[in-house]
Amino acid sequence: MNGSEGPLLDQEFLKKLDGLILNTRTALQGDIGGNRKSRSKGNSIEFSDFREYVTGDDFRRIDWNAYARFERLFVKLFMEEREANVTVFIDLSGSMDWGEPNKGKLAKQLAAVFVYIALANLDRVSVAGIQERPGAYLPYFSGKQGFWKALKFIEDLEFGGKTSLNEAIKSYTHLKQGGGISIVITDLLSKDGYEEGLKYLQYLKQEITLLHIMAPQELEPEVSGSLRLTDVEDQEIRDITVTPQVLKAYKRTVDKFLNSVRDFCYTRGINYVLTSSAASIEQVIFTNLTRLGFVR
Amino acid sequence: MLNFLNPWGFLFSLFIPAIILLYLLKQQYQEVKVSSTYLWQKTIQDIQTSMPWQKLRKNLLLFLQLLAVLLFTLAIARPFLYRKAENSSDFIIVLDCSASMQAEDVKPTRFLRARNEIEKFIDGLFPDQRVTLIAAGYEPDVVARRTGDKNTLKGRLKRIEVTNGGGSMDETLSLVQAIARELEDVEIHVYTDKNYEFGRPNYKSIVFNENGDNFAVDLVSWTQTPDGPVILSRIANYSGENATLSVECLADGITADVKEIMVPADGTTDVYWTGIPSHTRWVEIDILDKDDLLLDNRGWAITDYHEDNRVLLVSQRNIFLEKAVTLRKDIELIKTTYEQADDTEGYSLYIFDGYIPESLPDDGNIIIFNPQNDNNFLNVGEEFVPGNIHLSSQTRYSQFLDFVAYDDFHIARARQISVPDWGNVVLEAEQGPLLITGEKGSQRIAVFSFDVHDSDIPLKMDFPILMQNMLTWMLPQGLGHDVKYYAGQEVQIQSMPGVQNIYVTTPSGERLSIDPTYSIVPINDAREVGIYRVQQDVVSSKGTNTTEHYFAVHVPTQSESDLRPGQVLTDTSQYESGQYTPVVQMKELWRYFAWILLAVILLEWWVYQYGY
Repeated sequence: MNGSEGPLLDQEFLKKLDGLILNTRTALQGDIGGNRKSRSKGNSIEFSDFREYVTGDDFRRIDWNAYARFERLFVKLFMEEREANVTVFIDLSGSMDWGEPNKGKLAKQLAAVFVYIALANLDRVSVAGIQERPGAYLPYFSGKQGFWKALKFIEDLEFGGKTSLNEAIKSYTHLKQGGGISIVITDLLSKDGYEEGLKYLQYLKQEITLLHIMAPQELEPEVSGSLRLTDVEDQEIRDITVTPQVLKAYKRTVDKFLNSVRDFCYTRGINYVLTSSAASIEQVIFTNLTRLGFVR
Repeated sequence: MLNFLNPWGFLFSLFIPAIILLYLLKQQYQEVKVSSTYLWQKTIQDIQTSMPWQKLRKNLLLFLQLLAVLLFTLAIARPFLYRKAENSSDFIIVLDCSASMQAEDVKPTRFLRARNEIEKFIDGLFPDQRVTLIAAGYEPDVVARRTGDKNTLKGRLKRIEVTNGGGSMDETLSLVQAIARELEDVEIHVYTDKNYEFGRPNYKSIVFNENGDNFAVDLVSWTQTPDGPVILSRIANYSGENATLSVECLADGITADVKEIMVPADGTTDVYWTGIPSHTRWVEIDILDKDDLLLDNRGWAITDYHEDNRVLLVSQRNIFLEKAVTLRKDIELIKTTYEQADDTEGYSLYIFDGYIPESLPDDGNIIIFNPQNDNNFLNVGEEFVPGNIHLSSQTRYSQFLDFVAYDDFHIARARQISVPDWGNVVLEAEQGPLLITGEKGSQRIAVFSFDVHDSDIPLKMDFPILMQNMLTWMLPQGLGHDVKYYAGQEVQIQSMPGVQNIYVTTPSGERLSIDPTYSIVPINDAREVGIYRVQQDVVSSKGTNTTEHYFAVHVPTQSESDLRPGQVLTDTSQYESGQYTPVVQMKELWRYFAWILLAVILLEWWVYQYGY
């Protein structure tokens, strides 16, 4: 499935998103003035700091009131507001097209929401699918009018194949230099792990938000008896007799897995949000992400 | 040695390969698609590292099922262990049910212990062995005859109860010998508390005896004095050590006195009790100290005071009869003449000499001498001269002539009497009957067809004997008086003339109704020791008059109270005090296998339900 019975997002919902902005700790660098404060102090109206005047500075920015008090020349520094480069990575592997409700649908909805918020904040946005290798790719663009094109792109994304999070991210070449915001939407069910890929993104000065979607059936499976489990991605087969003891062990494994992800993200300063695919998109945006402070 | 009763049961083990085959075929998995086997794989790794014996557990169910089949196979093959002991095909088991088997020196009691041992013995029987089970109770009772059915045997065994009597071991043993003669290969086991020595190798006594200490009330007797009854009791000590005992005397169930007495080892002490209220009907003597047999710690005496029997003699002065009747001290004789003799009542015995009133009284027994032919009662005919006097036949009435030399009687004349339907001719001459007795309802009647004056009988010393014999029957001297009954003995109650109902109340309060049709009523249920109350409702023209008397049933202390095994019967080769060697031939094991099987099945279910 492509996660689309009906439109991914309706107009009503999009209106609610209008007031939201992506909140980033790290300042951003970019070419064109945007709606975002950059760390480099420059020409904007928002005051940031004083600095002693040195030759070559724009003398129009000398603070004469400070001179009157200290008899020394200071120049005012202002936040330079810049656009940010937002990259939405969406896991397109087969495992995402699974679960009841489907993980893929929520993933697409979230991707669309982030694109919308970023565009509303005059940021530049790109959408990148990841599978075993980098998949479908929507280049950076800005301007709200581009949203519908992006939405169409997201709606048309197809799930399938294996995941290799590390490999796919590392070989992704379209990231803009100078840092940015990376939003990774995945179920983390990647047999080669996820740590290396995220580290690589941080190396590229990306501020990462990891949206971890899991289906209720993955968190608390309701199966029993002798089962032949088939992996939807690689068709790997595993025979298992599920007893209450095994289920308990499974839950322990899930908890351990989630804790290790949480610890990893915490120590690396990565925003981490775990959500069940049973949660509604409103709940994820207005509760989970808002509480985290990632959107506000 | 282990052996199997049903080796065919091993065929069941064919299910073992069947189960294994099922397991090989069984691996049918339900196909389930999952997003990733990643977490499942980690789970399995996790389980395997935390449970190193996982591989084994994987097939735990299989092992349990195989074990269950194996156990089931073993159970139905009926394995047994046997000791090479008796190989007889027949056993006669005798269980002593005498009162001493109630002793508690062997726990719980000798009897229960012996019964348990017999049950074990029955469990150990081979299928082709048969048992005849005999209870030596009040009389020998063949409870089960030559059967190998263990359930029947055990059911019948359970129904055997210990008695309060002396047992019937002698009769039982002769019965056993009679039965054993019929059987070829027989072994006799006697479960008892005394040692019986049998001269035969196939006899064996299994003795339950721990030399219990016992005290007993051996005797309770009484005599009437002007100050009221005086009770004599004899307390016996069978313990081998001197003992100081507390003994209580109860009069009509109310404590009259308690005494501390010393009884020497293996001796007796007589205790007298005075100050008993004069109208006390019965006394009970209790030993208050505990011993191994409580049954014989009580004894009773009936001090029932009898009114004199009132006897009416209607005669024209018959000095012989007067003298003969008044020989008995408890008789108050009232004499009257023919003229005043009509419509009399209230006497225990009426003696009509040469006269029969128009209507006979109905409240007492009657003796008639020399009846005349002007009466409504007897059909009296011609006179005859009796010759060749003899007993007509041996009946229970013949006792009137015990110690009487009737063949030496000379009678001048007698009258022909046609024998009424209630009558039996006791003494007769060639020409006709001389003495007719019988019971009309519960009224006892004797008719002499001659006048004593017309014979030489009153001059002989046989006359008073004859009269006393007659009076003994006519006026029974109170039941229970000076008579000691033992449990299980037949007690005979002499019903009073005109009695309507007889009730006997047992010591435990059970009320038995007894058929009053016959003048002597046997009670076979007097098996409980203690005081029995007999009530007789006598209906006369004055109304219903209830009389009460008592009798006591005792333990035969002389045979039962000495709990020690005794010397005479001891067969030392068989007997070691306190050691019983149960004769086990066979020990069936299937029950144990069945229990383990049940446990395994439960475990299997648990494993299946909750996994591993």
